[in-house]
Amino acid sequence: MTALQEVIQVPPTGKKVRRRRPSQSAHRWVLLAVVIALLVAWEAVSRLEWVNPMFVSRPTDIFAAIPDVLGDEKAVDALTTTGTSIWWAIVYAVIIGIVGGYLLGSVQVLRDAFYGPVNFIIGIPKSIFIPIFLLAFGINTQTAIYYGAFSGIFYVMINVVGGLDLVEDRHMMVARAYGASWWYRVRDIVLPASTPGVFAGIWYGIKNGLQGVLIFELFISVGGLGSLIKTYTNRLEIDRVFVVVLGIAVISIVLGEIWSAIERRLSRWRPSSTANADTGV
Amino acid sequence: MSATSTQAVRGTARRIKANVLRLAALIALFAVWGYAQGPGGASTLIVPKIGDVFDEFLQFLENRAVYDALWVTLTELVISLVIAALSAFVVAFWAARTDLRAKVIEPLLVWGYLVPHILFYPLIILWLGVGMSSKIAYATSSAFFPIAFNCLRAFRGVDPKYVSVGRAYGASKRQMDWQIKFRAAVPMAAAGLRIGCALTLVTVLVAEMLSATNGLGYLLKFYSQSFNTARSYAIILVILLVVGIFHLLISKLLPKNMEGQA
Amino acid sequence: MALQAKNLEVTYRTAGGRSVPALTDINLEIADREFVTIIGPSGCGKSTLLKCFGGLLSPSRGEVTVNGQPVTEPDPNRAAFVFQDYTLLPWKNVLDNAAVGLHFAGRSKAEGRAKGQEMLELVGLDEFAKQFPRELSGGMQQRVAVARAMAMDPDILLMDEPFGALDEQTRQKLGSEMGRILTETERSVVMVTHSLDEAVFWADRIIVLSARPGRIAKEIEVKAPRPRSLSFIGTDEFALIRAELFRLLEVPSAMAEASQ
Ligand SMILES: Nc1ncnc2c1ncn2[C@@H]1O[C@H](COP(=O)(O)OP(=O)(O)O)[C@@H](O)[C@H]1O
Ligand SMILES: [Mg+2]
Repeated sequence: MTALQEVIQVPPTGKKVRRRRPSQSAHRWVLLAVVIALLVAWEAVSRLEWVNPMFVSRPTDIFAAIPDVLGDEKAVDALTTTGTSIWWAIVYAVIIGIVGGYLLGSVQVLRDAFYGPVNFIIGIPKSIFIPIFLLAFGINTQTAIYYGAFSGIFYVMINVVGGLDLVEDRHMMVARAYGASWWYRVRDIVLPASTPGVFAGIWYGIKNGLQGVLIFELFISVGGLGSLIKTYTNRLEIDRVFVVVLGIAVISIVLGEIWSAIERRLSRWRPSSTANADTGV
Repeated sequence: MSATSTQAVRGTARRIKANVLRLAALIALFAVWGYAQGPGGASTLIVPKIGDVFDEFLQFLENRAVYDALWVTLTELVISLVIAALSAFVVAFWAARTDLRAKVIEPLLVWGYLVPHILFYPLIILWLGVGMSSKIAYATSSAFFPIAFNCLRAFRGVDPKYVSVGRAYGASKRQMDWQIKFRAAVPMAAAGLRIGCALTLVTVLVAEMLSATNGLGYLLKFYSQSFNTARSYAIILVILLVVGIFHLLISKLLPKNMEGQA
Repeated sequence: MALQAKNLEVTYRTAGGRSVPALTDINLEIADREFVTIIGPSGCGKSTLLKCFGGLLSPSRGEVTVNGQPVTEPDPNRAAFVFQDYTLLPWKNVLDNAAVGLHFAGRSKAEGRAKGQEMLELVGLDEFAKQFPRELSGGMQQRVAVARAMAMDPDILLMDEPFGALDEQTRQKLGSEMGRILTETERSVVMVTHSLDEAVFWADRIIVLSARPGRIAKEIEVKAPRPRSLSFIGTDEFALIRAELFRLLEVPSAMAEASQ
């Protein structure tokens, strides 16, 4: 019976069978309906003046304000500035974090000495170091980049270390038995085995690097979206605040979804896709 | 030499090596500091004297204002944590009861977590003022999503085995919820709560630094903007101390033996 | 002869510095095209011995030679390994897994693919080339592991309980198929097993190891010509040898006596 099962279990076409039940995508429609309902409710609450329309905008007005913001030279500048800062913050955080993480994870003494401290740093609110960054690097966008990178680096490191712990001895043994040199062992065993951790690390690096830059910009005026939001808020241009805030929110969500789609694709080989190197925040 | 004592010696050797390395890193840090201070010629406005920072730190430990600020911060922290955790539990529990609800709510929770909440803070200040309530609102909204997500995963992921045991023994719906599903979900829910704790601490301090009238974050901002560098460094040390104690408490109350996702 | 072990002795050192003698006094010769099975109580050093043959472990004393050359490190062209739990690389598809040894040897992709495909055909899995290991059953994964070893054209095939992780049915089916393949390809095979039936069915010669530290308690020749059909299981020779093995492995005093 088992032998028979072995034959029929996997279809001989070499393709996985995809069963698609009709109800499988039903929840998408419900989700869409819920999102629309929320927007409608918001609009209604605002129109009925249950809340002060001066302080809380409404979807239609926000929508109408999109061209205003896009036409505002200052807004476009701010977006460019912040986008650039975030980009570099992430690049630094990811590169330094990955290199540091592989070092920390593979050199035993380093791990003994510094894994604990790095883990502790992760739990520290990074914002308390902003004053030191300002003193050391001055009030400018470059400092925003450094602070953003600093906010992300440790998450990357810890997750890369977590990824290295996923490398299995038995796979290293196979590599050795089949004559893999040091380079092949790194490339074909260590790197792929640790990708889940590296991916989680890059993700946390992006998330925290982005947040770090935004926090920095809100803390001190160095231009960028932080300043823009503050300016709009002070001028009570609430529609515009919402355009910016919700715009960034939507971009974040879309990027996040794209990211997890890529990750799912790259980790098709994994038996379960939840081997997430957990780090907390 | 017996086997166990050899093992102990090796373990000790490793520990010593690690501690030497840590000490070296610490010394290097202070050496750079000292160098910047002395031969480096950095202004005390940027790099305060180590002794000054230490003095200020000791003074803070007897300073009424610091304890007031600490009280404010802790109050904000606890209130937001309680609200976030309770609402997250309720939402997750409600959502976990049918497949459709879970499938609709889960992406909403993920999205809510992906959004950088900090951007809403200026609006929150506009709505709620610079007092404690704005901090609580911001921290609550930040902590809610990861806790709820983890709880939902926890309640959904309850091993069907337990559920069928409950059914087989004629558990009522309420018994099933409390005796079976809830118990089985505790570890992962705890992971969510742990993440929530860490997140509230971070967000409360950020919020206080951005705009507030009291709290540890506020003190830090105040001293750093009045260019009292030694005091800024000292208050950072105070905050680090508080953070350390806080994490110690978390690790005692919510032991980390289960994975969570955030 | 293909493989020779002289005065082999292995002592493990645990992390705590304790020494664990795993093998002592192993002297063994394995001829070209000979099929040798190794059987013994669990923990007696079977895997250890195989690792020494494959160069994955250097013995504390003595040496292993293949065709006169001392074995100091793994060389899959000389002796290729098949592990008990298959250990395919889960992130590589079946074809790349089969060709992984060639890849590690720096051969071109095309060469690897061609050889890998050929070996997959040999084990009857060419249609699964593009799938990932997790999509295959245990028996299929083990066939891929065999293809991976055969792709190296090794002089010797070292198999450590290759069917150990499979259920009885799959094991038998896979076994008879492998038997055909291994016999056709005409190379030396050393196979560790804990199954009495397997040990007798495959072997030209059975090596029985005693409990730790492992030493050779007995060598038994199986005269029936290979490849054997399933009817061999019904013969007197099979029954007698199986009984002898059973006695050695299940009756402690018998083993002690044999290893004197
Ligand atoms: N790396 C190791 N360190 C210490 N002891 C080991 C190690 N590997 C195996 N041993 C010990 O050596 C003995 C033989 O192991 P092994 O060759 O795996 O046995 P078998 O394959 O026959 O079950 C066992 O008692 C085992 O505990
Ligand atoms: Mg073994």
